[in-house]
Amino acid sequence: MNRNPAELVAAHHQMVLRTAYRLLGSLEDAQDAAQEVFLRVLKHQSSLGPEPKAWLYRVTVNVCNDYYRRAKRTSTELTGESADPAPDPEQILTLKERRKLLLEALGRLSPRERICVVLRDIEGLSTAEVAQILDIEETTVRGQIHTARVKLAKYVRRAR
Amino acid sequence: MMCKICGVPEGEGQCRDCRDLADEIRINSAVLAALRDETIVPLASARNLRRKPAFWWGAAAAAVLIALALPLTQYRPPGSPVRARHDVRDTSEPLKVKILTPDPDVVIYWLIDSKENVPQ
Repeated sequence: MNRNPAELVAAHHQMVLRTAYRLLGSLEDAQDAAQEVFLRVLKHQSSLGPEPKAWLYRVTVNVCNDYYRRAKRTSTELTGESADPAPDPEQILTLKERRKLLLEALGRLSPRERICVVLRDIEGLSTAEVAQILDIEETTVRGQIHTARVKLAKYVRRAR
Repeated sequence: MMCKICGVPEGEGQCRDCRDLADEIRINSAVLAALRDETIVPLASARNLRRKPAFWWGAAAAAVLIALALPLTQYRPPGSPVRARHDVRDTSEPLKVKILTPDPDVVIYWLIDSKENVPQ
């Protein structure tokens, strides 16, 4: 398919940038990653299907995975096993505070869990679509998402 | 009866902790979904937005300096012969003012031609 690359970039740039930003947590890295994604689009333009969204998500995830490997992040990942005190019912988080905590916690998930949460919960893809993009079983995606959601919830409760 | 999730004995099929956690997950999912509608502003645009005021402050400062420097270029000591003044003006180079901008790649040179003010 020969689609105008400029049109393709205009139509999907925000989606690619947003996904990369949520995966990498740095706008500068996300912009570089988005650039890399669209360079790959130009390179493989002829093999793009009529609906390139899934392909773009897959390339974005791959490019971000390269970043993880290169950066070899040493930040502590959430294990989900630490003490989980009961939340104080009097203390209700504002949406803004919860959003901040979730973004913090997202950066502490394992790369695979983070990818699953970003694609499923933020980008709103179905479990089947996420499985297709990552080339893994749907049950694996469900497991990763469940583990990640529990870790995020416990992180938010602990931070109260 | 046991909690369906954690297996702890509980009367209602789900213990309080698991119920709270499920509520927490539900709220988190809604907050995460809201992130989908956020527009990410590329860094370059953000930088440009920040740079604009600085640039105009720089330009304004340069304009003030030029305004102050301009009378000095036309100053002649009292009593100097008119001819000598003409000679100086005819042979002098145009005044070159270098204006540095916040962008290191952009330098503005302002050439002021003093001949424009020479009476014919």
